[in-house]
Amino acid sequence: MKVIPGFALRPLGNEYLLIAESVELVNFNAMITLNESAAYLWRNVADKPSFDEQTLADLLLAEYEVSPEQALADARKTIASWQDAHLLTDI
Amino acid sequence: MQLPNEIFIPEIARLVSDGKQVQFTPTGVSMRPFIEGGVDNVTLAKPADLQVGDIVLAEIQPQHYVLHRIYAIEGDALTLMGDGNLVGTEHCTRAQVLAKVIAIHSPKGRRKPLTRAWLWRHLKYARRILLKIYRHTCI
Repeated sequence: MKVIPGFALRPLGNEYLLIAESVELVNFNAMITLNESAAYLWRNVADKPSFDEQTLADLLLAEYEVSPEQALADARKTIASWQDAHLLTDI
Repeated sequence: MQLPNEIFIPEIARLVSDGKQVQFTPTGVSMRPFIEGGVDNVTLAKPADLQVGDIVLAEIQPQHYVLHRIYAIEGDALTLMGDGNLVGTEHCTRAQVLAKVIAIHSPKGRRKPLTRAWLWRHLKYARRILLKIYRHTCI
């Protein structure tokens, strides 16, 4: 999978806002916020031609003190929430 | 209409200055009966060709934003007022106007008429009664 292109990640207080900058009409009511770790993951996969849950788990392991099991569980949760928000596409 | 998320507004202003249109739901009651806070969506665009009667997003003091109607223009100086307010105006310059409302939509997506509210602007003394009727019949 990969992320849909055209989103900009902007800091918003303690969180980050994903703004669909490629569209002419930006709807702030349907805006997606990411916490710090999700934003870290997003930044690292936004330009990747392809990634999977193991890619995210490895990124979490490299940055945070978590067990491999916890990292994989968090990676799956992140992917599920991005899929719910229609941020991902199959290649 | 006071905008609660001051942190959002600079982002909106940036997008608008980049030429985007931005939709969001403002809060507050100060633009009744034309905008119902927390319910209606407004669409903002670059503040071109400002005229009396336009609804604008302005930074009237640093990090203090209002979405109010222009009631007077004298050269570079604007007087703003909330349609739902009985008293109180704000003053700013054209440069402090970040965006202009180009459409208002109800939650069902229906487009509400975007008027310059000529009659309403001149009905200041009857507003108390009209707003009372609006609160009791339309909300």
